[in-house]
Amino acid sequence: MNARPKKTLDKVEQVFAQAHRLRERIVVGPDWVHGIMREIRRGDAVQRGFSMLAWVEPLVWRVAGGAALAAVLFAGSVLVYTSQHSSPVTAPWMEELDTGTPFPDE
Amino acid sequence: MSDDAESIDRVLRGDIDQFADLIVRHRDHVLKIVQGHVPADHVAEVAHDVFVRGYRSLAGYRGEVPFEHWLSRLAVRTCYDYWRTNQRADVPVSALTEDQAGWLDRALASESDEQFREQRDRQDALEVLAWALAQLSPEQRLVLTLVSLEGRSVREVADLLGWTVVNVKVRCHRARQALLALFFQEWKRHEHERPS
Repeated sequence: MNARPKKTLDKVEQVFAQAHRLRERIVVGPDWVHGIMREIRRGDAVQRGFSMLAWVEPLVWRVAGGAALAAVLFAGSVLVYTSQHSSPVTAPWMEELDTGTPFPDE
Repeated sequence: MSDDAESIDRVLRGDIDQFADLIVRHRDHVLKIVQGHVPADHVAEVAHDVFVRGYRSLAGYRGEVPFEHWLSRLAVRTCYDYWRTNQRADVPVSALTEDQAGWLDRALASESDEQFREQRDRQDALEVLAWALAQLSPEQRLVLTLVSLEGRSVREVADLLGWTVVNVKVRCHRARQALLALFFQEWKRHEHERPS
């Protein structure tokens, strides 16, 4: 084998090629085609489900963006108010909510 | 418009059932490709995957090559993926049996391939071939099958696999070297084990 390795390999490859060509043919029935179509339809239905929910994601992002903007505006206005007034920002509401002493009889 | 083009157009416009026509029209071609690359009991399953993939990527088919050719590329690449995930799982990696080693001995010693025409020898040849291919990497086994066993041109294989011609040549050369080393190693081992 050492003497003529390439020639030997060529010969074995030829035999392999011959055996390869004579492999038994695989035959599939109509069920096989139906199986493929079933998988395709199932995949399509899942895909359609995803695309029907596609509007949810941008909506969630928009709402989250709006909430974040509102939070920033509120925090900014609180900062501006506290820099201009000595009383706490909640003072106006505290007065409205103050109903006097909780137990007047005591 | 060809039958294929018409069916593809209708599938893309939402008539999924038309794809069954494409399957029936091309199943023999796909099965023939697949059975040359994967074990017989996995052929139907891999060919099934080829068509499912075909459906999913149908929108990317531009009609530049015949649909059958496009499907061939997909079939070969699906077989390649099969071996990347199932490498050495299905075919015995262990050494050859006595009978298979005997076949290899005869194959290496004989001057012609006349004696390998018999059914039994063909079966032995297929078993040794399966064993040998199982020792190679998925790339090597694929390129060796396409070039050496199926007799396809390097350019054709490059087109099927999306590799460059040089890449195919290099991988094919390496695969043949690996095969030769494998046979030589096995031949030496049996020579050593044989009672003198």
